[in-house]
Amino acid sequence: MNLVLLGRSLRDSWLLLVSCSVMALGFTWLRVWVASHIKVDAFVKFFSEGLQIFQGLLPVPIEDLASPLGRVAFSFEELGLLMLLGLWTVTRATDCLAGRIGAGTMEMLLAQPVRRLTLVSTHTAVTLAGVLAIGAASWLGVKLGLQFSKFEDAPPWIKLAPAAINFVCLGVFITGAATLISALVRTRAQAVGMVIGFYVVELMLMIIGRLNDRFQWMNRLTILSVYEPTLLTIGLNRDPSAVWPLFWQYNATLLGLGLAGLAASAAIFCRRDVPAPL
Amino acid sequence: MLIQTDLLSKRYGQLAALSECSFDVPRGEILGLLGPNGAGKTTLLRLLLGYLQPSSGVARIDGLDCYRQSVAVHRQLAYLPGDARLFRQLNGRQTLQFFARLRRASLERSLRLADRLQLDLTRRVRQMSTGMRQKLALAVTLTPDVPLVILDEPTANLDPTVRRDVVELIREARDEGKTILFSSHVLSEVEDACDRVLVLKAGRLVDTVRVVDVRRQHRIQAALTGPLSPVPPALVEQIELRQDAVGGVTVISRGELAPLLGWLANQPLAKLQIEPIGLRSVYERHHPATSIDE
Repeated sequence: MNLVLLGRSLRDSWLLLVSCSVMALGFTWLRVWVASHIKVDAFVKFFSEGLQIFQGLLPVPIEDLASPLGRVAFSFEELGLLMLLGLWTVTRATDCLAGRIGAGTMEMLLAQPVRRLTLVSTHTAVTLAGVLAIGAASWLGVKLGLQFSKFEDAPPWIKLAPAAINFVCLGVFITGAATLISALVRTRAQAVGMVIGFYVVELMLMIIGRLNDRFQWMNRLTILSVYEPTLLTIGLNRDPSAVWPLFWQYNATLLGLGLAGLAASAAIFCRRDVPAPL
Repeated sequence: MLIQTDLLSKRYGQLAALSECSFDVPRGEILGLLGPNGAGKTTLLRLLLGYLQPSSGVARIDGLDCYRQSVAVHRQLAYLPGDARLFRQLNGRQTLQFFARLRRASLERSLRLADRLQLDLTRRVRQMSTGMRQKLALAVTLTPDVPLVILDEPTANLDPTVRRDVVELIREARDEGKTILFSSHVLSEVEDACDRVLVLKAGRLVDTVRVVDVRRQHRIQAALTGPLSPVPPALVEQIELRQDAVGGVTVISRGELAPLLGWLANQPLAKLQIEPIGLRSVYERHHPATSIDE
């Protein structure tokens, strides 16, 4: 680890990190507070009777989702929060290699007596610290939301730990995948485009796999099938012995693939030719 | 020798960006790289920097393999890219500080260089013109106390006054004992600054000339009014004589002019013209159809 590079990387990204963390905190706080004010009976009836086909898209049965714990845990599956995590991880990870090569700053950095591995690891360390910070901010937002909520039987915030951990593991996975793509291509635009394409394909596989039993196998092909914060939270509170293996399996998959992606990107970057900037 | 390359080649599929390039550079020399776009100059520099893996052959700096020992090699050199791009959010001073800290080099020296290049260090890089950015990058490059400085078209975006300063800085670096590898399109600049020049064409090293020798070379053209007498044995080795079909004669002299002029004075010649050959002639010998900056 190079302290000069680490300092530079922190200074480059602190504004984005603080913004994402504050927004994540505010989002989950508001989301929990709003969820505590909404009467969900109508929703439950609506999904149970009118829109049964869409029940398959829900992470847990509608009755569980409608419980205070389910409603709070579902905050970690909201698009807004996932977009904040995506904004941080994709922005940072695609900048790590393709971004710097495309911008030309890699030329000057590589001319210094610094190992390529150090360049990648320093940048990635800050990105992963940011993922932790956004995860912690989201969890803290949930805590604050619960304190100000109108739930009659508000769940203790510690019970949301499985959701927050699953959220952080997803962040590690996105960082690894986006850095790997960044190591393979030449410009940041290419890297971002490929990450978005990858996400769209994953999302389609998940939706089709969940909507129709015939295509359930598709669910196994998508990494989104191991991002289940609501399922893990409710499951670990209801039947810990049955769900603990699932908790470890899901998070280990996300962490393992993310770290493998980071290792592969470092290996590729250490060997690849560095083209002149466009 | 500080730099040694042996049959260094880089291929991209069928395209040979550099083919079997072999040369040595002793310490303290300013070596110029000449060639049009696509000749292989930047590929050669990037191979020396370890940015590219050679397809075959080897490049060494101070005995270290440029690709396999690139970090150790980078301790020996400073590099200025052709289009230097720095961190856009930093100002000039922060940029100098960052690179000085990364190299553990002297910030004072950076600031002195910046002052000499008339840089406004309070301005952010993103607000700087291309020329200012290049000057800032030049200050970054010339700061560390390293034996080798590699400059890829360092004056490409600079005005004539600063170009002159840059050539002066390059000479000063040589006087400090540094070796300079310097690629440029500007022949006059290369001729002014360099001790020796490599000419590249389509990825091949086609000529190596010493600038001091080039400066001693002259082209003498005249019309013949009668037959030439035999060339004295003392001059045979140092001149090249060509007669054309319309009664003209061209003499290329590679040595001292005085003995040749003594012989020419007794020849039946009219309309005598003497001109120094210069790098332009060397360059045009290999790249005849290319228009280049003077």
